[in-house]
Amino acid sequence: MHAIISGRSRRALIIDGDLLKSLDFDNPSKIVLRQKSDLPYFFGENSDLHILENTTMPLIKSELKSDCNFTSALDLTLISLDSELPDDIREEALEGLRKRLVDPITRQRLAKVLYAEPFPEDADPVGAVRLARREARKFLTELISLQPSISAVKQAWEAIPTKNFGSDENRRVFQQSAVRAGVFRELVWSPEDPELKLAILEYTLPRNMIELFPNSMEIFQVWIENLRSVKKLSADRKERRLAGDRRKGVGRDPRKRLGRDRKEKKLAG
Amino acid sequence: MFSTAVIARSESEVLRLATSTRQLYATYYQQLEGGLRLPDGNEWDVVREIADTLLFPKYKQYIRFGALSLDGIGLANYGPCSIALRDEMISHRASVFEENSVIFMKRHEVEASNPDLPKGYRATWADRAKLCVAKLEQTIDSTTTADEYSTRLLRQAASSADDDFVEVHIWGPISVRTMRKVTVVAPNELENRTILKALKVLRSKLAELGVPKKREKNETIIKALRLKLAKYGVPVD
Repeated sequence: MHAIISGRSRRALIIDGDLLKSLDFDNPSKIVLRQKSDLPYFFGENSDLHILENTTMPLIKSELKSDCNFTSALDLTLISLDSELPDDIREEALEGLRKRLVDPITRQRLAKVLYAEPFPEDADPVGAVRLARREARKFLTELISLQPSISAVKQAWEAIPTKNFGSDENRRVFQQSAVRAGVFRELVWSPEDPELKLAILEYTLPRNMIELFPNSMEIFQVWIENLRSVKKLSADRKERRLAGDRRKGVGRDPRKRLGRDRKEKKLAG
Repeated sequence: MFSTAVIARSESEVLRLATSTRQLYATYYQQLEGGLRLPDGNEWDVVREIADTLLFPKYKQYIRFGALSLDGIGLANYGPCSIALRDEMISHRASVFEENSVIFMKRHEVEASNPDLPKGYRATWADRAKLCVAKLEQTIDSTTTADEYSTRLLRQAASSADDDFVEVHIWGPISVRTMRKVTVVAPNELENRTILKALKVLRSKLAELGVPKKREKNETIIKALRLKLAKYGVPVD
């Protein structure tokens, strides 16, 4: 028995020998016999599809549930971050999100996606935190605090030359596999030691990704190197900015600055 | 009374389409756009052969399937949200077909060894009325009322195998700008109405007993959708 699952469609297509069947998340006790003529309509243009080979019905049900819960959690998170929407809808979404976050699998899957990209400019995380309660508030607060790391990991990713992947398409596939496997999240969280980072990534990596990209570990090495450079550059910039501020006297007591200016003027005169 | 192309989707998919121009949503949704790579093996042939249908040689991946509708309601067996599309956005890239093309091909034994499609079952978007008259003329007479036209054109059945409709083939993507109206149909509407009524009464009690309210989260998504789509002049019923 094989299956194709879509959390966004909230259904699974089951291929059981010559028979086609479907399972709807909203009606999990009912297995519907399907025809070939259903297929063009079944998933629409949904591309969040994932395949289960040689599987069982309990596993299909469990994967469908996991996909649907994750899709709901992502939709609700994005609604809660949307400043174009009124507070009552955002609050409602946050309440739904809070309930979803109780499930550790949903929480983990959501983090894998949200930790792979810094907040876009039109997101309103501060507003979302203001409206959020308990688990949802904690989750968003942590996400906000990790934004510098998330940005650094993404910058380092973008600095990997495309030739390492072979083509732009391969790069896209690698990125999506890395997001799903939680590689971006591990890099955001993992300690500074590059050896340790590499070991964690090797552990995180799913086997099919290594089959698809035999040079995965080399790509990770370049990525970690880039990450070190990005962090160093960011630290240097911060240092330069602080030094510049010190020269300009930013952050000092303006009365003292005024006194020093007068003194300098007197000496010059 | 004009017919429109309608596609049926889930609430989540409508949200994705409705927010495709917003960076906030697109940034994260894009990470999940993996596409489907079917594994090798004969068991997958049933899915694979539909993808290589003779009706769309080498361009099947660009085709979206919809149904022709007079009341804006599509095939509810495939999703609770019916998206009626704007004529001006699809008329140059849509055609219509007598019925579900997979059923048609099987019945008329159109296959790789016999690839000729019989004439008279396919029309351009502009000529869709002619195709509908050719298909339905025997079911309409002087006693047929205007209210009945929509159910003659698109007959919803409890099972998708018994749905009868005129299939619309749309080349290219669908976006928020292609949508004219979204109608959300309760997923159980086609089932026993008495059970539905009872469920409405029992709903709050079921929640107290620890059974989650049906499609609770989707109500939030539908509220968000109403506001998102209002910006583009697309109503949600």
